[in-house]
Amino acid sequence: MSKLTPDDLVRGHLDGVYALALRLTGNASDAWDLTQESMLRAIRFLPGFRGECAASTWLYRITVNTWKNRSASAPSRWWSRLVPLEAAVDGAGAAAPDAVDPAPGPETAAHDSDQREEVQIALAALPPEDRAALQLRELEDKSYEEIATILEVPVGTVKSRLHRARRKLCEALRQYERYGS
Amino acid sequence: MNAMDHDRLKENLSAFVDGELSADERRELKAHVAGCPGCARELQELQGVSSAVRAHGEEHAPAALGASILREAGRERGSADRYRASLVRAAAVLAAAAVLLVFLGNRFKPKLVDLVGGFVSGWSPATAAVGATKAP
Repeated sequence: MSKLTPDDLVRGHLDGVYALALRLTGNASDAWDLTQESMLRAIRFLPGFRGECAASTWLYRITVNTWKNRSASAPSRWWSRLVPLEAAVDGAGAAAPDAVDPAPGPETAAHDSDQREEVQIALAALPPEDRAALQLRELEDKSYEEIATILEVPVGTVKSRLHRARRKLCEALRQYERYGS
Repeated sequence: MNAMDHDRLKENLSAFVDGELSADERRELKAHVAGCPGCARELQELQGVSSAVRAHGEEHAPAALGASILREAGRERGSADRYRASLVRAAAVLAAAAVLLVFLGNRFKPKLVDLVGGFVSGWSPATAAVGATKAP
């Protein structure tokens, strides 16, 4: 296997890592930090990467681990826990406003952008691990086996988590009454 | 079909959408869906939600993020290189000092041995005692 460079990692996998980080943290600012920290760790570990799995799988696993470590050792970030609380008080299924990525360009048609917003809001209402599983399945085309490796859970858990996540999304999207078009 | 079988098959609908069932499981589920309107509807919904996420869930990293990571990685590597270089320098200085010590040691060993040897041989408890009594 040819040697991967830090440039290869950033060029080939930045969007994927950022998208996963966004699903895990739920907001763009924490996603930036998590992506940066995970990528830097990966670059440090790069000489030890032997290509036992796809580079993306390896990177996503580092991202999930970094996220778990950050959430476990974040006493100084106690205020961050208040944000989901406020969102929950606002109403069932209401997402934190910053959970919706403001990045996409204005060229998308209005209907498309409505649908996109609905999907993003519905996704934001799911637990982080469910969002991550969906992201890896739908947008990264990872197999259940790979998702299990990345999230460090049994394959059976991946299967039930995806099923539960899609059921909840169905219900949320049905509420918008545009779903199915 | 009993309710337990029905629930088990229903739980498999998502894995069916993902192409994660074995050939036998697929066959069994297809046969069930053909005769169960509830599961057929749910399958359709799951497929719909899957394509909605695929179509609208894409995210792109902010343009500045990649550059920021590579800059930071370069800085880290720079300081690691500087640390390595300073270790190499320290090792070189130590090695030079060791070589110098060995050289000096070899060159002056005979004189040192003579000096120390002469001092030791000139000293005895008797002379030391005489020296001690003479002193006052």
